[in-house]
Amino acid sequence: MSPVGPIPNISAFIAAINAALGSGVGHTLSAASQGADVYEAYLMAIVIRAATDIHMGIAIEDTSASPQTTLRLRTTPSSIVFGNFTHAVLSRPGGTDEVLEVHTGVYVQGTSGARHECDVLILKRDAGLHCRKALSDPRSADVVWAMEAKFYVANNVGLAKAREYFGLNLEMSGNRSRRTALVVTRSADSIQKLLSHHTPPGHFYRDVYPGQLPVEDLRAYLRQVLTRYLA
Amino acid sequence: MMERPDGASTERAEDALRQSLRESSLAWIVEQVDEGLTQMASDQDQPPSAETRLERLVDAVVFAFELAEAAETGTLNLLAMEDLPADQRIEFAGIEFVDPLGREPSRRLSRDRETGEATGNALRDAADKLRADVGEGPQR
Repeated sequence: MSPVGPIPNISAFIAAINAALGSGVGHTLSAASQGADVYEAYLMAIVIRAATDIHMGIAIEDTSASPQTTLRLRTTPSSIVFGNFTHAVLSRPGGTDEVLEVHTGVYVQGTSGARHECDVLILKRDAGLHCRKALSDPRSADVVWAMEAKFYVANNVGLAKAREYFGLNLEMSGNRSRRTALVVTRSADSIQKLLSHHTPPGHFYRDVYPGQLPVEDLRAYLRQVLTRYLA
Repeated sequence: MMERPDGASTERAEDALRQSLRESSLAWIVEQVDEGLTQMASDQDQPPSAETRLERLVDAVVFAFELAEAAETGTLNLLAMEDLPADQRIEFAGIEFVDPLGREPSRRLSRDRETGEATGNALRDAADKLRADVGEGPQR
């Protein structure tokens, strides 16, 4: 038997981490963003591509309704009203009738009146225009669909977040149909059981990141959400 | 002949990695891993071994970098819409992430940015070598 001893490659691994942090991805993994900003942007992009799948028109505009070519997104939640941030505007297929907006990291007034953060929000266009004019948060009744996004890098995590999700869903939907989804990169298996038991299909997605099949499942479900709204 | 690590060596390696992650603004990864380890201990009615703890840390770090790189590239690709006819694409230059409270500098993902594939490969290689070290160690 070989003798017991130290682990020689730990220093090399730590050096590789430090090198990787200097590569640019380090910003995305910083203590401030923890991957969440980019993940919300990724989910927003999936919503936009679901809209292009059904031939909706897409435009990017800022809070003053000026067209933009750069998406300017929040790193922490804030009001839909303030700051020079952008959102996507979705129009009916084959027309110019603007019907929906897509935001990241904005507050919504829940059914109780309490303020909640929505990581990715599909909002009625009329409501978005009204809120920016009236300097108010959107109401839950104006939410077409909202996603709670979690950039988990460890397995066996997320049970507390799953429990919180039920509260958010109640606040966004009241006792009527559910209008929210919990979307995660990884999670404990128990979350799948919990959500499957208490929600119909379409409200929990895990392994949602590039190259994974659930991305297509989510995109397909979002197409249904948009199609139903347009009907 | 290669030495096999004992449990104390593995714990020292784990401590060194945890310390490094905390000093590199990656303490949030440690916290997520610890949440998972706590859940694992609860599920299995026993604490995870030093080898398992180190393996989970390494796995989370590598996955974090791969995931960040994939999410950045994936987002830019989705919004570039190069699979669509030109007249159906949006005019898209990139993404800027801005703190509404101005506490941190803004950062930008440009459509033409270089990917971090080489860095990711180096990290994966280093992780594989580390796993080989731990994998040859005794079970505690």
